[in-house]
Amino acid sequence: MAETNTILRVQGLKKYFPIQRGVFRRTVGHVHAVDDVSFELTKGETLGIVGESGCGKTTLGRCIPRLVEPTDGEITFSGDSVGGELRVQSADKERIADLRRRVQMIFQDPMASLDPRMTIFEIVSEPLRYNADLTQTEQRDRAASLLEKTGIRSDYMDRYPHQFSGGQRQRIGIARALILEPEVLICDEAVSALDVSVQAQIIKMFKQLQEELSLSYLFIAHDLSVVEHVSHRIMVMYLGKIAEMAESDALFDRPRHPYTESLLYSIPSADPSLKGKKRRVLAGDVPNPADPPSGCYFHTRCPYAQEICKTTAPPLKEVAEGHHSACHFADTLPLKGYQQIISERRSEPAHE
Amino acid sequence: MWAYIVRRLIYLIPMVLLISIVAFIVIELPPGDIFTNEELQLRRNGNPNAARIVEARREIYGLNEPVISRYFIWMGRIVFDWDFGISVLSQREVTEILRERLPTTLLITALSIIFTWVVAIPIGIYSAVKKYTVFDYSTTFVAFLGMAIPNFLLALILMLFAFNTLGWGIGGLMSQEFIGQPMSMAKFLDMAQHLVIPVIVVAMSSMAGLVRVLRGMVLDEMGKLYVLTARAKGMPERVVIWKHILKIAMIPVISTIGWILPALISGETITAIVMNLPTIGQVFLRSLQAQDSYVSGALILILSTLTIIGSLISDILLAVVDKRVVYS
Repeated sequence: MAETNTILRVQGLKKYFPIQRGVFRRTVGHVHAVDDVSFELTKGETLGIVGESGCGKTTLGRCIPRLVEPTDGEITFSGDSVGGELRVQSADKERIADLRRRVQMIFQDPMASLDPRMTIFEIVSEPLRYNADLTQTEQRDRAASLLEKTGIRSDYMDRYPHQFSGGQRQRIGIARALILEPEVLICDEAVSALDVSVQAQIIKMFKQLQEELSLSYLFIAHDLSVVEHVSHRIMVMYLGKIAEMAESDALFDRPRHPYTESLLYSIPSADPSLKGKKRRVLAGDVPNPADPPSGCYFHTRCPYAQEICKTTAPPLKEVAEGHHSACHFADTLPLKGYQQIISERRSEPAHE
Repeated sequence: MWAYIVRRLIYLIPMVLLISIVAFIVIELPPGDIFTNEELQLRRNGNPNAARIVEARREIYGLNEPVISRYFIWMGRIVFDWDFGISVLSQREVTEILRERLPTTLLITALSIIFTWVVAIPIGIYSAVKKYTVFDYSTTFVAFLGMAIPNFLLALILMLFAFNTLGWGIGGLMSQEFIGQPMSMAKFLDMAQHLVIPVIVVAMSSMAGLVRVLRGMVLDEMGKLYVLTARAKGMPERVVIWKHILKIAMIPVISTIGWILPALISGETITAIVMNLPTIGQVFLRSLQAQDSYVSGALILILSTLTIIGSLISDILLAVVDKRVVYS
């Protein structure tokens, strides 16, 4: 019955942004923000999506509720409430409205993503007014219970966003996202703007909510260490493509893509014995996505790059059960897991 | 909210008092008083009672009293008797002139404001939502044209067109045959026809600016994250635009109400002269030229009071749109 547990299936999703130049705005090229991405999300699962800035993870997240119109691909959404499947690619207005009820987003910047001129109650309950038939009192009760659930005192409901701290605002954003009882939550860098202690609280809350409401998450972040705590599976993106996708533990223990290994190297550690020891840092910048390198997009920065990497793009293939990698040498490269990296760094002589 | 409105109303009192003092100073500024000229005139005509007549008038208007009492007499007459003094230029009471001219002026003004908004607001929003389309470019073009063409020229062109092509009666508020006639359907239609061009001309310049401002504001807000949030919440696009975006986009519109009122009343002067309309603007201009102090004083008082009332209205509307105003 694995098939019925799939709540969201994305197939061959592409989003190309045209680059327009000159007097007549001629299209001179495309930025391949999301380039042929496919994945599935099962009920109650968290899929972490990581990658550097500009790798297309935000665009990917926004394509799903069609806040950004995908160029191509198919998004299939099947929940319990509606028997049939909802194909986003061909969805009409009504279906998009239905989709947006069931897929909610939480944004990175809790300062900018709440309308500053509305009270918390108005912000949280607004979706109810257009999607549910409730009296004012019922709306207030509903909003109050969600705010309490996310840790905001409900008697603060008539205050304005500027009267709250960043962490509180993010909680308000979460309460707002939950009010229509969505099945999928897309958290786009939902904790990145918060300080570490608040991050931990919010992440804990995400986990609790998932247990209580059996939510599925797409958890987008640029930081592997944040994603590790919440995700069952992790997808690593590079220049709009999937580099590697695997169970969290598998990805951390035995990465199958050199890019993932570099990301593991870059995780900061609070271990005092590592003080003064150098971290291996990925050289160079992300290539221009409007003019990506030939062959494997990563070959310009890959420490293991061979001749074939410059000419042939590696397909995403299953290298172990549930473990996908887009590297020619996924099976042979001796890539280090996180624990190995830590012990390797411990044994290194200290640098000044 | 009510506390806020009441507070603002209380602030209004000292402001109006201050303005009345300024208006009074304007009346008092010219050397002599408004009857000095009249006295000279009477003497020149050889009227033996010249001194007595003028003296009696001075008595009525309290011009022999000290300055402070003169102010209070002037204000007292306005407040209690609705008497703004007399115009030496036309030898009529200012109140009478106002009664004759103010309704027309307010009618043209009100129609122009409504016309401006009804046309400019949807165009501004639409050209922002459909930016860089043919519609956007063409309205932008017309808007700049409207801003650049002087009002009187536009009035002349439209009058010429209306007269030659449509065969409309133009100039004045109504055709000759209706002047002094009681109100009838025919008279009403005739007046409506005469008002079309003035309303378009007066509205045109402010309309163009408004379209541009609104378009800019809407474009600005559309890129904000909370608008994306509203879409992600599943709000229909119409709610996103009308409720979330317009609240902000309307702020420049609302905050200009304060000066729209007086500007439209005095700003149509040139149009009114060109089109021979009986409005306040013309009277104001003449009174300033001829040092007809009671008239100019009364008009300054009225225009300034309108400015204050306009500002009050816009402040209250701003508070309605953005309730945070009330709390800070």
